[in-house]
Amino acid sequence: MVPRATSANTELQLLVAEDSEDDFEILLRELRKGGYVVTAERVKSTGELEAALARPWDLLISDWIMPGFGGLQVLEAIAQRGLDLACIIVSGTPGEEPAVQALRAGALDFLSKDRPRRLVPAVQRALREAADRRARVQIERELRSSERRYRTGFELAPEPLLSYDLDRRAIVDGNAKAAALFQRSRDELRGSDLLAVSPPRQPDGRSSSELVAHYVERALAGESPGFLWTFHAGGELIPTETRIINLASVGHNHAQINIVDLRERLRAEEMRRRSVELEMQNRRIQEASRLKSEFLANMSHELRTPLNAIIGFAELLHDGQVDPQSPTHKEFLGDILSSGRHLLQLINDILDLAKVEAGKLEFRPELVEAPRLVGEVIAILRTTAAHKQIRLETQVDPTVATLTIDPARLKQVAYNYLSNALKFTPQGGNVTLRIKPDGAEQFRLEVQDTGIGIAPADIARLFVEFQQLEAGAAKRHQGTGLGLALTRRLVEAQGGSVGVRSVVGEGSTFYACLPRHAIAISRSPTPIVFGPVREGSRTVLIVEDDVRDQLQLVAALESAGYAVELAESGSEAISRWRSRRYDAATIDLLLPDMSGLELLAVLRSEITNRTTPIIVITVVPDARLVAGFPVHDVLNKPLDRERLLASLARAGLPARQRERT
Amino acid sequence: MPGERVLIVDDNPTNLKLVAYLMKANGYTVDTALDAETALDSIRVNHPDVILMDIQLPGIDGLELTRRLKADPGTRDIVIVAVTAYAMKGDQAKALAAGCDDYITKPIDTRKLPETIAHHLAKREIVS
Repeated sequence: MVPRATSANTELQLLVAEDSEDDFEILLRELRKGGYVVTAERVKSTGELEAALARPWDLLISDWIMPGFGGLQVLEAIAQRGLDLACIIVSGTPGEEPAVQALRAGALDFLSKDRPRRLVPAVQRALREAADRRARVQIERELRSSERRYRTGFELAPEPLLSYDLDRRAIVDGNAKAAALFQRSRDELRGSDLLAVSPPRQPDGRSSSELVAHYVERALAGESPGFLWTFHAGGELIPTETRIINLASVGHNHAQINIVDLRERLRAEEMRRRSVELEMQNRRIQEASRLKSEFLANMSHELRTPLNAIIGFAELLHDGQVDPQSPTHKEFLGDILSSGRHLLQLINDILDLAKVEAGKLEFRPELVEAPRLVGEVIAILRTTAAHKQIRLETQVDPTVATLTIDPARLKQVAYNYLSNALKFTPQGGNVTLRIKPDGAEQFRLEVQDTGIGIAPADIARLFVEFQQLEAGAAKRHQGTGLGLALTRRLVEAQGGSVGVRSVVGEGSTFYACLPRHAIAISRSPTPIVFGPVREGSRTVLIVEDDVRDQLQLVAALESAGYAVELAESGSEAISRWRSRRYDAATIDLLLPDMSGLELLAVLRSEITNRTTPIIVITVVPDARLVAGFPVHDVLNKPLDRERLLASLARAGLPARQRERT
Repeated sequence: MPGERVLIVDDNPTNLKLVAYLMKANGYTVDTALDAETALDSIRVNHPDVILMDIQLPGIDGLELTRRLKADPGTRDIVIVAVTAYAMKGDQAKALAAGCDDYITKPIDTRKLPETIAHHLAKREIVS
């Protein structure tokens, strides 16, 4: 059956090369029978053919042998002109050889004139093939143009691009920006591996080759993975944001790698961070300077007050304004004496503080009988107490009657607490000094008074230098603002701790806990790892120089199932930070060797622990201090255990119940 | 000006004793107060001609007390001389701004203080 549907009413512009009029007519008849609406022209010579080929045709049918020329010449003429014209050869003398010849020369079919019925199907097929070929050519042309456009985009792209073969894991080509980034010629880039321009390990320690394998695997699975990648070129590490885009639809397992160089951005961020840091540091310095000035003003005031009595009375006596025989004369001499002693006490406090600050305080532990030492301190203050009709009592527990400690320093602590208690206890009150055991290793010295008490909000400031409660011109009680701060420093320097319990209106109990038998205090430079580190436990680095706070932090964290490591200075913190990964860190801002903000800046610039959450714990209750630093949280001292644990939980490190044994 | 009445306000008893003795020796009638409350009571009863005012006092301080006295028409004519151990830059300006007529730092000069007080009282005589 002839598939008439395909040719019915199809218009056909037909060129026929045929010397025989009859054969031409037969041909037309067959085609019309086949449903074609044929417009045909017949050519009989090369000249006529040449002229006709200038016009468009749907199909050419040519006789194989004609006087003067033949089918082969016709085909050659078409090929010469590069025409896309379907051509069928008909022959009165068919044979295998001519047919092969014709098909080789571009004919779509070779038919025998004896079998005119084959003509219509042959024409249909030839037209179809011609149409297909034209479509294919069109697609190819478009593809070529698209590829040209792609090539141009690739070449001119403002960011480095690599063309990449996912199967061979090799760079096929790189654009000019890529060549510049990697400081290699494009020829050098071609065929090389991504690993040739990457360090063996990425900054987080993972193997570059394993990561490349992983990302290529994902790209092969049809994904377009994007990731942070550090390249290595020209002796420099180049942090980038890189994406492998699977272009398998274009070429077999072909990918494009887009690279965004992050150096500029990181530099800008670094600059911004540094400027914020400097600003913070500046603020800290200003605050410290303000505190120093305030301290100086206080010192000036406190020194002038006894000097006023000393010089004033001395002038009166010297100028003969007081009868040397009168009791007043003697009284004034006594005033000069006591004012002089007060002045000496002030100066000693200042010097002690300076020594503590410089770390030059020395302790000479010796065997001490606690009751005797307590008696000596009480003797000094008995007169003051009697003056205010305050009952002064002492209780020494026999189990801690003998201690090994620096007696002068212990006396100083007892004296400071007692004189403080006497100052703040009204007429007729009670002050009690106790020495009692505190665990098996320590003892506790406490002084309880029935004084005015201290508001909870003020307790945190009590032991801090330069911080007098009720600061300003209206200070009710004389003092340098150094006594308690000095006491705390003295106790801590001996490995002890201080504290206070107080109820406003009822009184306060100040205490100091110290080792019963002091040994030479030496701070171990080796890592202090508290408790057994369990498999899978989270490790927190504690940066804290204050012994009391260290113990509190360690206790809080260990009891919540964290492993802890301790750094007592900024430099120690930095070396630990570089040596291993921590799950979190707590940082005190007041460190012996550098400012906490400086330390923060260093820690945050390290690649190890880049994402480790840092919790700042500070006595300066102002989160703005560390604004601009990538810290997880800011907590205030005195430390609240629950807030610390809540903060760690927010960082994705919830507490674990510690196994009870 | 002997016979004139002076109130000495100071929270430090030793210093109070010193200045009181000095002023008495120079012929003044002397009242003393350890804090602002006592000072106000004394002023109401004794109407002093001059007050030697310490700045650091418990509760209401010397600056605040001076402001109150200078704002009150009944007491604004009393000569107030700040006698204080606050001797840092700016402290004098603060005292004068609060209304003190003069500012003397501790340690005081016992040979000059009576003279200074007499000078202020004489000036007041001329003005009024």
